Amino acid sequence: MIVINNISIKEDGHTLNVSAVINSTTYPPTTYFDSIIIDTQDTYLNTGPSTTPIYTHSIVDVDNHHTLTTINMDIDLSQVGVDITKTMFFVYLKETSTETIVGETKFDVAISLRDYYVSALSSLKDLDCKCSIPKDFIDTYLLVKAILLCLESKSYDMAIRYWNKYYITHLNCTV
Amino acid sequence: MNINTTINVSLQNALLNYFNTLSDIGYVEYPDVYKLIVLDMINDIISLKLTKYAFPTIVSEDDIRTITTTFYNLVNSTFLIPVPINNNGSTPTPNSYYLDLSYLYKYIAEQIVTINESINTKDEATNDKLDTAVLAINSTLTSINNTLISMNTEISNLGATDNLVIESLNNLASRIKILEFKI
Repeated sequence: MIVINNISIKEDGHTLNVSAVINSTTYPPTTYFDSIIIDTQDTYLNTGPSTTPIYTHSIVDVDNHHTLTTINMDIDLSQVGVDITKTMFFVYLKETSTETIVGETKFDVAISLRDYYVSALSSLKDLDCKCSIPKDFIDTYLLVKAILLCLESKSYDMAIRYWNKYYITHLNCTV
Repeated sequence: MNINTTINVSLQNALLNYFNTLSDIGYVEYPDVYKLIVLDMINDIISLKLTKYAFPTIVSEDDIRTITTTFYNLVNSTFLIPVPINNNGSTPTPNSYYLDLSYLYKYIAEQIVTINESINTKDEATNDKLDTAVLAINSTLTSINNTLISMNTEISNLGATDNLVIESLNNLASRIKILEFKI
């Protein structure tokens, strides 16, 4: 069984950290990591990894065999060719089995809210000069909050809907 | 109590006030709710709950200053967000410093008027009164220095410098210089 420790974008804004282990009840284990597949909000399917992911990486050891049960790797998303701040990354971890059973697939979502942080702080500075709080400012914060709640509750379709709304409504705008 | 705890406690109190008001009268005005939302946002930023989403793990001094200023602007601007109270019952807001300082300013101004009157009359009988006034001013200046020291301690406890406090300190320093010159 795959246990995801961490899948998130690091503070530098472009490095995706993937840390996971396979909990095996037998020794030697019969399941190993197979690959990492990354989909975006445009290619996401709620049935599993799509056939058109933006990134695929086979997890193999130095002898090119699937024998790893622990991974902790950094993926440079700037090489993937998408705008990191405007993309939801659905990171799938697939396992492979030495027996006849089919290995499971687990996934988590990574997003970068760095742009939001910067614009929110600049908006807070502006608030000092204004008598009232702009509605756009509140609207954006509530949208971000809605996205985070959807991710926590694993309502990914709704999270994508809010994510697109957030970037369509506030594209090239400050919060 | 540092600024993180202050904001967190303030948010808790504000939410309590919000729901109490809703249960009592069933309505809270939008501008008040917006202020509550901004307070929630500030709390999210400084509580580092969003570091999973590439938020910086270390908030810069400039950002802390912005957050602190915004927080103290929100405090008391609506009934939902009351003035935060320390564990010892004191108020860790720049407003309290203003109150103390205004009292000291008033006291010093009275002493200066007394001195001016004494100097103008040049009556020897008032010389004693003049000495007393000078002593009182010296004692006031000492208490101002003590206030400055306690303010600095408060500022370091808050974890950030506040523009209002800095401005107040500068004003006070310039006033002390004027007073020393006059004496």
